[in-house]
Amino acid sequence: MTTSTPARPSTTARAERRLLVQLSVAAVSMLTLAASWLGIMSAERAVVAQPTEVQAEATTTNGSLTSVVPAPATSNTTVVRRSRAS
Amino acid sequence: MEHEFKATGTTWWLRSDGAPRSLLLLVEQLVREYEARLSRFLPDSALSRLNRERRVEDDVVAAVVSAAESARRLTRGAFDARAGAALVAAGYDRSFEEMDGAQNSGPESSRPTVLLLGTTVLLLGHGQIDLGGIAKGWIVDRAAELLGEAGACVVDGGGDIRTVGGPAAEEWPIGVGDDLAVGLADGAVATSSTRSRRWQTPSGEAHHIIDVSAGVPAREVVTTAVVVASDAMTADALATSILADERRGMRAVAARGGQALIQRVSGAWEMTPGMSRYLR
Repeated sequence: MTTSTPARPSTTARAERRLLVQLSVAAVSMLTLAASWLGIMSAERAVVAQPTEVQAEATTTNGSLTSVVPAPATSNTTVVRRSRAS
Repeated sequence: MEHEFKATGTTWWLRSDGAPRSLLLLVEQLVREYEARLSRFLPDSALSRLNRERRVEDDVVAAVVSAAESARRLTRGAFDARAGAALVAAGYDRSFEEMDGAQNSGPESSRPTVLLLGTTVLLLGHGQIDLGGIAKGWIVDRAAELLGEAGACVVDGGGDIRTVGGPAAEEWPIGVGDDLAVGLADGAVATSSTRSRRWQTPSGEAHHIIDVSAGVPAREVVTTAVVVASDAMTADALATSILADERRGMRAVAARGGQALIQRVSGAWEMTPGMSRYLR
């Protein structure tokens, strides 16, 4: 009776497997990094969005003041008289 | 034709393309006659008699006091002509042109109860009436009614402006704020500011807008208020009320269908949405 010993993987095959494992680890690391980066970005976006919301709220708090005149506010209209506080 | 003169402690300016010079002079005379009755700086005026004797019979004083009481109710007390004693206590006890520094005597919140019986006005309790700005607006409206008999016109009484449009309701371009302009046919615009009529007192700088409940010049949140309304008297009272109390003042502007442009202490300008209809 003869027994056969399974053939030992060749050096090349072992190197390929190692490379595959390393690539998998690298891919997982990249994905993790990408996920955390996306998380940071969305958190940053939330922080950026906050002042806009506050500003929108501020302009409507009064209930009547909704427009802000850009500075410097100017008009090219020639006036007959200017209303000035006296 | 234009005509300019000094009265009520400020500069008046009339413009009418259809009025003869005699009518412009008649309007000036009308302004002076009303000033003689409504000024708190003239000892013989009907208003001075009211503050001194607590009773006066005068149809003009009764009309303006009645209008001032209506403005007080409209603004929920942000505008209150009964704060005359607080102005005096703050040092504003004579015509502004005569002021060169002033003595102030601290908070003064006494306000009289006003009774109107026809053309008779009675004051109960302590305090004085100051019709200042609202009287000026009222006189501007009367002057515009008279001058408007000759067609389109503009009457400016120290920043309280009333316009009367022509047959085609032509607009008058009127400057407001720093460099803005509004177009008015039949309407009015008034500007009030804590930056005008300021004076030095031993305890610091004071201005003429009174926080009625505290009896002292109001804390400055809004420094300039420009109000567009149907008449100059209402526009003046509303502009003053915004400086005294922004929230109550702005509510009153909305209730009267007016529009406002305000400047905050920071220098930023804001306006009610409807103001853009008038901007040119």
